[in-house]
Order: sequence, then C-alpha cells, then structure tokens
Amino acid sequence: MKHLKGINRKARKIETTDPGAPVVEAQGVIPFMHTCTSVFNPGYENDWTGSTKQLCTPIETDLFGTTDMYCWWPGQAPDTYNNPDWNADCTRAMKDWMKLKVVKPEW
Amino acid sequence: MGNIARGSGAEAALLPHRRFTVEGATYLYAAETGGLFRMDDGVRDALSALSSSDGPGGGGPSAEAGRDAPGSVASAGASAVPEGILSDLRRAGLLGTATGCGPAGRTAHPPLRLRTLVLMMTTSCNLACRYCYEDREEGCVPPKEGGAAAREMSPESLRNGVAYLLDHAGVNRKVSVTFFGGEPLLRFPLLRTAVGEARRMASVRGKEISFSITTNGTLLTPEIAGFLKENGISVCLSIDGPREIHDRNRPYASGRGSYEDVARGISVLMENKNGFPVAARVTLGHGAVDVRKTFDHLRGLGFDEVGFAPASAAEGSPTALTEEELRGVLDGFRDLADGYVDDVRERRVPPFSNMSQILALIHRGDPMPYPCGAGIGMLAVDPSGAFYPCHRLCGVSDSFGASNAGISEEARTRFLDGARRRRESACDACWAKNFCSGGCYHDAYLRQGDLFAPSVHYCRWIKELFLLGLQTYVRIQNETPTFLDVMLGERGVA
Repeated sequence: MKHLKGINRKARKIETTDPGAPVVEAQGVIPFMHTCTSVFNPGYENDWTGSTKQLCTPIETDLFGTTDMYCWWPGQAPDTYNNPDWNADCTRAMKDWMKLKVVKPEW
Repeated sequence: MGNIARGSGAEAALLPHRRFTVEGATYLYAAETGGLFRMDDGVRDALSALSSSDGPGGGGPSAEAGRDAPGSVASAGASAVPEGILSDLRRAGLLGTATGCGPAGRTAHPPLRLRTLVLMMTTSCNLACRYCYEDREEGCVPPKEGGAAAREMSPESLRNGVAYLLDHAGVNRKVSVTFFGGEPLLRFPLLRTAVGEARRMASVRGKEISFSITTNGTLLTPEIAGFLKENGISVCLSIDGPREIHDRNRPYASGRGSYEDVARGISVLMENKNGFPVAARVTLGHGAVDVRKTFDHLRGLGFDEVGFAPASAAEGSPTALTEEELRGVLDGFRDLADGYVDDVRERRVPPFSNMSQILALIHRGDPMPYPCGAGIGMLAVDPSGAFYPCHRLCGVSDSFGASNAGISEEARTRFLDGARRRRESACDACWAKNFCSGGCYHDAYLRQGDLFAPSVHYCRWIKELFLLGLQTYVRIQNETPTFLDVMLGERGVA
C-alpha cells in the first residue's frame, strides 16, 4: 500500500498481506469474529463474473477461514494441537491444496 | 438487512471510518477492518472527492458528518480518483456496497467458554450509595410471589457455580472468580472457605484459578487484608475521590459519609499489598465530578490503577450526569490522556485504566460484535444460584438457568441475538461500533427499559472518548512504538 501506512497491529497485517493471496491465518485459533462473504451467504460460490476474486472471502480462503464456528457452514479441520503440521506444505491453498496431510485418529 | 457489506460487487459506499489529525499528520480509522492508518494527501483528497455532497458521508475531513461515513460514493468523484488510491482504500476496508447482506444472526454465536464467574455473595450492603442500581429493600432479584428472593448466597450455590465454571472453561486453563455484591465482605467467612475449596476443585481439574473482589472498603480489617494478600486476591475498591466528593454519593443509610472508614480500609490494604495492582473504581454521579482532583487523590492513596464510569441512571434521575458534567469528564480525560503519554515516555506504568482498555482495543483492531463478555466468557450467579449474563443483569434479564442444572443454551442464544440485532441495525453505520457495540445492556435497560436499545444518550460522548483514544494511540506509537506490545502483552489483553 503506497498511500496508507499501517499504524496499529491490524492495519500492519492488512498492509503486509498480498492482496492476491489467500489469507492463511490463525488455524486452530478462533478469532473473535470471522466473516464468510457478506453479500451472499454462504460464500462458497462464484461471484457474478464467474470468478472468486470479488467474493469477500474467496473459496480458497474458506479452506482455513471457515473452520471456525462463526461461519454459516463451518468446515472441518484437524486441531492444530495434535496435528500441528497438517497444512505445513500448503502455504498457498489455491496452488498447494493437494499437499494437505491426511489426518486420522490413532486407534 | 441494511447492513453494509464490503469488498463485493460494484463499490457504492464509503464504509464507516473516522479521519483525524495528530501533530499535523492525518490518520484514518476504518471500522470494517479495525485498521488504523496514516494517510497521504492523495487519500485525503480522494476521501473528500468520494464523499457525496448530500449523503451522510458528505464533506471533507473537517465536516462533522464526514467522520461518520458511510455515505454513497459520488460516481463522478470516484472516476477522478487514481486506481492506486482506490485499491488502498479497498484493502483498508473503506469501500464496499451498501446492499443488504442476509438475515441478522447469520453466523453462530461464540460458544460459551467461561473465563470469569461473578459471584453475588449477597445483595445486602452496609452503604446506601445514591446511584446504586440495587434495590435496598429487595436486593437484585425481585421477590417472587409468596416469598422474598434469596439475598445471601449459600455455600452450595457457590460450590455449584465454581464447579460449572471449571467444567465449562473449555481450553481456558486459567479461570477467575470475582466476589461481588452488595458488599461481599459482609460474607467474609463464606468467602474465606470458598477460596480454599475453589482452589482444590480447580487443581483436581487441572485448572488454575484466580480471585478478585470488588468492595467498598469500609469493612477491611488487618485480618481480611492479610487474607487477601496471602491468597493473591486482587482488589478493586469503589471510591469516588476525596472526602467532599466521595461522601456526596456514598453515605451510610443514616446519611453519614463513608469516606473515613474507606480511607482506614485503604491504609490497611496498602500495608498488605500482594503484588497485584490495586484498582480504584470511581463512579461519576451528579454533583461529584472532578476527574483530575479525584485521580490525583487516589494516586496519593496508593492506587495503581484508577478507572472512571458514569453512574448508570434512569433518564431524569437525580444521580444522572448532565450534558455539561459529561463534557467536564471528557475534558478531565483529555488531561489524563496527556499524562498517560508522559508516563509512557518516562517508562512508568500509566494508571489511567480507561485509556489502557481503549488502547488495547485499538491495538488489536479486532471487530467487536458484542459490547462485553456477558454470556460469552463471563457469567454471574445470583444468591439463589441462578445464572445471569452478568452481575448487573441479575433479576433484570432472563436467567440462563440454575447453577446446579447448567445453563439453557436457548436463553443464551436469545440474549446474544438481541445484542447482535442492535449491532447490525442501529450501530452498523457507526465508525465507533468496534469500541462500544451499542453499549452496556444494563445501562440501556435503566435508561430505555430495553436491554438491547442502543445507548444513544452516550453516542456523542463515546465517540469523543474513542477519538481521544485514537489520538492518544497515535501519539504513543509515534514516540514509543514498543510500549503497547509490551504492556498490553503483560496485561494479557493483547
């Protein structure tokens, strides 16, 4: 961002996030509030142009973003206490989603 | 409906934000993201161009209404703004659409994950403060037909409450119990037993439990203060200032002022400090407002923190602050905010706790969908053993259930639905919504008879207060950028 300089923690986070990249943040930690797309619930679909770019929360982000219970349809993700590395190789969900590890109970 | 969505479709609205100036530089707080930015001249001009001249977002940075956008984006204005600036504004959360975005309550409420349980040890009190919201005759719970409501907590209700707290803390390893009342030290024998028992219950369950007490201080003896010290119980003491201010609203039922006894209690307490900060809680009632004088007096008595709150009172009540008094409070807060910045510069822990809370909110920048933790991380148990969202709502809101039977998820959802409806309707377009989220339920109830009415009587005042918070935040970040991370981290709120 060239015209705005982040001052608080949230602004600096916005500033350093690549606008094109899916937001991968705080898995296993439930943020106080986490939105799905706010114009079309739930926001798993495409926008009116057929792409996901204009959705507030693009589908790729939902991989992580909708695993908390603030979402309309929460997805399931392994708990990060017992499976800290389940998404270690998947830094960009859109490209790397096939590298997510399979997690199964040990019994 | 009527919510403001962001980031989707054609951009038609400038979303809620606040522009302000500190030391010649201009800043922007975006309510949708909670981001606080310094802006360049290009953005400043763009915001003026984007604000329609007739909408609520109209006018330049100095226009009163322009501070409380949203407003519609004037199409001619938008086309004149360079794409780079539009892109920055989009990312910061300033541009979006003003279309409806589905039914309120679209997402689940946060699960109950208890951290704090407030125990109403008794509804009796040895003082008769003029602004007290408790009914002296009836206590906090109106008597049911055929008999008076319990005024004293039984050991069994207390045990059930603590067990419920420990069993419903989820992943929280640390939980806290607050002894409240009435005057909780009227039940000191029960309190003393409860602390030991709660510790044992916690250790069996692998939890860590801490205790705090809110007291009027008149009953503090060396024995009690020694117990509080030994057990690491943190103390919040209600005191309104020097004698002439304190005695105005905090007398005994006889009319005699309580200052002398409180001062004696404080000196005993300060001789037995236990390493936890001792906080003073000042209630600002009509005719007793002198922020600076009160603050200095309480610091002189040895308090580590001083927090102020206006008395909650019904409209027209003789204890309610007048508009002029509220303005006086803000002036006092501005003065204390200057001192806060000085304290930070000199590496002292600033004692003005209202400001610390606001700065923590700004620093994190998280959206705040509810005004407080009532019914989410906090519950209160009244003397009869019934759960309520908070201590002030005992007997006011619907009970969430009994401490021996657990809470009703339906009642809790109904309560939080009310909070969310308010946040998504009345407060949606306000730039300060992340700070106040509609305000205190109990205050709304007293003023307007409705727990979920927005506290409109405080809107202007609260916005001024938060603007002061934003300005103070920027001043601190400019001078001592590490302070907030360090101090707020240590306080466990960052």
